[in-house]
Amino acid sequence: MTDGGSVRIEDVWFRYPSRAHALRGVSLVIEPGEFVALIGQNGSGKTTLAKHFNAILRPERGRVLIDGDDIAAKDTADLASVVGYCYQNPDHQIFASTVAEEIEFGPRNLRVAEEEVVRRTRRLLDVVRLRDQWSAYPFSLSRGERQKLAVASVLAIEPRILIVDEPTTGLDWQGGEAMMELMRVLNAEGRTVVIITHDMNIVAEFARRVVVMAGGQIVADGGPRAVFRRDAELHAADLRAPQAFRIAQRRPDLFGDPLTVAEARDALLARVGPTAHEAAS
Amino acid sequence: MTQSFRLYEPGSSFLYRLDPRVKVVGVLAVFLLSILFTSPYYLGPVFALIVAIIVAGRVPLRRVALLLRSLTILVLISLVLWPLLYRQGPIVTTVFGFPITEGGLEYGAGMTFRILDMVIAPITLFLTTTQPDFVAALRRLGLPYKASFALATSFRFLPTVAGVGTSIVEAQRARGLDPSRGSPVRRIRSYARILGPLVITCIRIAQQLTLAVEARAFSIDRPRTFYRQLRLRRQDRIALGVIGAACVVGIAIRLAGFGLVS
Repeated sequence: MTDGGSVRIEDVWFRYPSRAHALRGVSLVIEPGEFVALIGQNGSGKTTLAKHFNAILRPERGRVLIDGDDIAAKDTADLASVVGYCYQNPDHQIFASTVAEEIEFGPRNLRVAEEEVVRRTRRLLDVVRLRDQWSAYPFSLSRGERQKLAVASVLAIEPRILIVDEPTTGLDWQGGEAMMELMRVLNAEGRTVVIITHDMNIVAEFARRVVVMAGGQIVADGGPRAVFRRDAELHAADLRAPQAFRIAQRRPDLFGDPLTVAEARDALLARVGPTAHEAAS
Repeated sequence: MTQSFRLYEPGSSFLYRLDPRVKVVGVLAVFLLSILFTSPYYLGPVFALIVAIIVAGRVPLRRVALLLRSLTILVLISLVLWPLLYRQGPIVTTVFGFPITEGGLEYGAGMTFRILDMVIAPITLFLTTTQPDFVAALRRLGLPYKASFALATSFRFLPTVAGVGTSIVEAQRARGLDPSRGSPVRRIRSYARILGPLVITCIRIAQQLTLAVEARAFSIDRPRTFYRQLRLRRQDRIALGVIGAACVVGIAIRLAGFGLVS
């Protein structure tokens, strides 16, 4: 894993043609290896902000720096090897005639050596569990498989920064968990991971930093616990902390300070001892 | 993100107040007159008439000019190729060994006016008529409901398809593909990679739309009633009369043997 993977946004303003500002003076620093969740309602500016990370959108005012370099003069295609951006709808990004070809496309574009392309493709087919379907036509896969393929095709480039827009939308619970486990592994390898999501449970379970957006501005930024406690800001962004967190906050004597249902359960069990069922078994 | 494909430019002149059916008939009349003649001495005045109507109807000329820009190449080809290929009458001059005849020059000018007439008329129609009015007009002129629905839907989905296209291009660029770079062959292959997902997504949208309209009783076979009712007023009848008269005069001139390049 190469070093780097930092994003620095300095007072960025942006507006779509003939509309109000979608970003109004956003500043944000993401350090290498962070796992950040960008949350906020539809239209809050989270996707617009993320699209600045690889110059799909250009700021009207302000600067975007990747690993300390201003990307104003760079092209999205040039940044592809550093910043991987996975779109919300997998059908907008897959086009090849086989699953394997889809994954190979990015590295081939960047002229990665042939044996390395094969190595990455094999590995990713295993990671997203599509090995048996390597020769299938991508559009014949299920929605969840297409989503995993889309992420794999971005990962094949081995970007230091990975942005995934709505990684779990359209997936069932199991598919969503598998997708997020993949994000966790990639993050553990040292990559910077930024996810854009509405799902507060996903945020609680996986993100180590939460950035809340509303009205084109960042209204809260910090660790999940700290952000979930900021009721006023969450309310302003039309968001609510996950249910397990809110319940536990009312009875810290019972639950401690958990983020997820699993943590709340463990805290409760530790306090009241094993259940009758567990004791019997 | 989503772009606007609306040609309609709000206004209040007589062109806007005319019944959309009258305007559709008017465009058809221009088509007829343009096909009847080949001589610039007849097609030129038709062009002048259309321009006069546009100016009197306060249609934004800048918009018309902007839309006509895409015709530049076609107009140039017509002005250059016809004189080279069409030989009739006395030779005026020779270019690179090709004799240029009087008839050829006339024919080239005539064909140029024909192109301009047949393009400006519908442009004027769309600049002064909203899409629902246009579809209602076609329906009342006898287009089957399903066909007019398909037409209205394709207007409606233009921005959607363009939005999907933009997303696909962005997603590909994020994977290191830049369709505007490389050799022509490479560029064509890049665009094929964008067209694939675009076509498949469009088919998906169409399939979903089919189910959605069926679920709202689209194929019911009883007569429909319509919210948008069109009524011919006095000014519409006068306009129809003028259009009809112009067509009759045009046909008469042609039958009398005039209007063609001799």
